[in-house]
Amino acid sequence: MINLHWIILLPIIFGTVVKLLPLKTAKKLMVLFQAVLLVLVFVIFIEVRKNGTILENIGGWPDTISITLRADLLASAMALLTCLLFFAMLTFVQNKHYADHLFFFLFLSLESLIIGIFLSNDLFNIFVLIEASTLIITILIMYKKTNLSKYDGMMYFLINVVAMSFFLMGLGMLYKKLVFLTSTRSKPL
Amino acid sequence: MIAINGESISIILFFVGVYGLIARRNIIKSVMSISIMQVAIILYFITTNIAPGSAPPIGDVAQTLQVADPLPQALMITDIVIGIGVTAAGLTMFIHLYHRYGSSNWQKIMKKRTPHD
Repeated sequence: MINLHWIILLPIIFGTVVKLLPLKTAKKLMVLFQAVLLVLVFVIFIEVRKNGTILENIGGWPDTISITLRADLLASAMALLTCLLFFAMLTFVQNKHYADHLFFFLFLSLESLIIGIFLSNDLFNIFVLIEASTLIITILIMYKKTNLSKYDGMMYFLINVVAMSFFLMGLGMLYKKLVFLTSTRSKPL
Repeated sequence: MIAINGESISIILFFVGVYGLIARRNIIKSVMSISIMQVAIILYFITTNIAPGSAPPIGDVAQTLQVADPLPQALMITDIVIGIGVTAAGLTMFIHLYHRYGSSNWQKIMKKRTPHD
């Protein structure tokens, strides 16, 4: 079984590397890669079903200071669903004129950010990942470059940023009461 | 009576930002309001659970009795960077929108927005 952080890193790395290839080859490789990723996430899902929750400290740091990834049954099922949906969408955009290298890079980055949101164990990390995915979604909305998409992209961006400001303020209040922001720690430090 | 401290000021500042978003139709003012909200959040995190007289959590703090909590400070460094990015992205999008519509008013842009172009 591969480590959890590779599930998040692989789409971004592949989205970057694929820029070096011709578009026609890149499109075919993209579907192949997505199928492989789907299998990998499915293996993790089976593992979680058999042996229970997987916890991974990124970089091997101790529990209190590391960024932790956590795959329980719900998180792994949602990651599997995300991969499945992105596989369907990548197959759908094969013959679209707007599907170029930059589009695929943004698309795969969005996939890894969404998987990151599901696997993250820390509320602040979730905030950071949602904020980053907001930017990518805005660029994808504006990709068509029409008047309508520019206005809608701007609207989406600002509404999302305001919503995440409320989220962060709530996080501050939670931190004041609990003195931790991870879901696994049961008592304050 | 409400004490005047960092927390209460930050909550007031946060809702000043919310008021700016609701009451103003200018896009620049909307971006400014979001910046005010972000500053309020930073102030809230930094002043929450503060202990007066505590030492900064840098260097050798073994001899120090009370050390400030480093976690909110670390989180807010990240938030400051994200805030700058968000403001920059918002203003860049505004420039594109202004070139296309020639206005900085939400309502005027919404009226000019046509589905078939």
